[in-house]
Amino acid sequence: MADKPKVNLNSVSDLKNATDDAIQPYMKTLGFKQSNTLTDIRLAIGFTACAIAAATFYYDYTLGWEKTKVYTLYAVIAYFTLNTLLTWWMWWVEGNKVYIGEREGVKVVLESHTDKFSPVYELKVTQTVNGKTNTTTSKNSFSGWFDQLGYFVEKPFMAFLQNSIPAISEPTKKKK
Amino acid sequence: MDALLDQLGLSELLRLKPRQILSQVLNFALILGTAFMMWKGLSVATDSPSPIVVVLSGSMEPAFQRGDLLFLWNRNLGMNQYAGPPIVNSSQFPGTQVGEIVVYNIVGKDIPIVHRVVRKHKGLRTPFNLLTKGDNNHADDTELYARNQYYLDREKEVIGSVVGYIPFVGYVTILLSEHPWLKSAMLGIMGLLVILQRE
Repeated sequence: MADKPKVNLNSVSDLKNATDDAIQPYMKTLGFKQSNTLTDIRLAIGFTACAIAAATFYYDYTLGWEKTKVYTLYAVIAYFTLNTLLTWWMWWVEGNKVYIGEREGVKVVLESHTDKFSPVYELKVTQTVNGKTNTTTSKNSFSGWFDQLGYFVEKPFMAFLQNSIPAISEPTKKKK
Repeated sequence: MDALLDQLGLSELLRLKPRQILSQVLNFALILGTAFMMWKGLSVATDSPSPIVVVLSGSMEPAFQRGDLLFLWNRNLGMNQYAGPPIVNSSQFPGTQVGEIVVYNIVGKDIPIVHRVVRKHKGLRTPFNLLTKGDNNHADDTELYARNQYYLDREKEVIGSVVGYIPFVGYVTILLSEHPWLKSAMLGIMGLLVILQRE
């Protein structure tokens, strides 16, 4: 629907989500290719667990408790193992990562963070070129790219990204 | 359509990308799945198809009232060596005893009944048999059993012995089963909340 999302200015998590969502389209216009591997693995683990629960439900419903008892035990163990794995994956592997992308051998990982009651967007940029990793952080108030009504304004946010991510301003071989 | 969604405050949904939609669906599915699997885990631990039941009638008053939540344990079959696993004396809940309260399902009848064991028979090769009676009833349960059935089969018909209870909290489920539309309304509201929240 709306090209310009309107956000509740009193909700830090809404502001953060809207900002996170704006990263990917902009990076795409710059020629970065997004990697969704982490999300895909999370979805795979999660839906496998759901499939186990669904199968347990189906067989319990059709065959009854006595016949499925032993398999139910294994299903319960498998389900909670997968759930633990999923939690671990979301906390320690995905963490705050909101964007992973690559352009001509330069890998960029963006992690965003906000403190609970502070309207400041903190961006951690991890950039890998030829095996060399370089981490920088930058922060800016949300008021930098949300107007008084809560509409997202692209330009200042793009400028913020350009200043935060060195790889963006580095010259590319083929300019668009 | 857009205007309608906007009115409902759902326009957020239209901006989501496929992976984000899948993530939201997954969150919802995992809540249902985890609730179901916890229930099944409890079933496996207690060896009972239905480890928590709600008292539906007043036949056990004053011990239990309508809406009380009961916790069951079904690893206390207490069979003899011919009919099944023997009683483990060290166990916290040894074999089913006279005076215990059991929950049973008569084959062909779907409603679980909570009544007290008043007599037990332990044949050498036959299954362990129980006669039950509601504390608040005048007669024993032979009327409630199937035709020509005078005893319960501990292993096949009893789904567990009561080992704990919480008064009244199960009354919600009585309300839900007596007014089925409440169920759909609750599920719908919960689903919407989960889909709309992002945190």
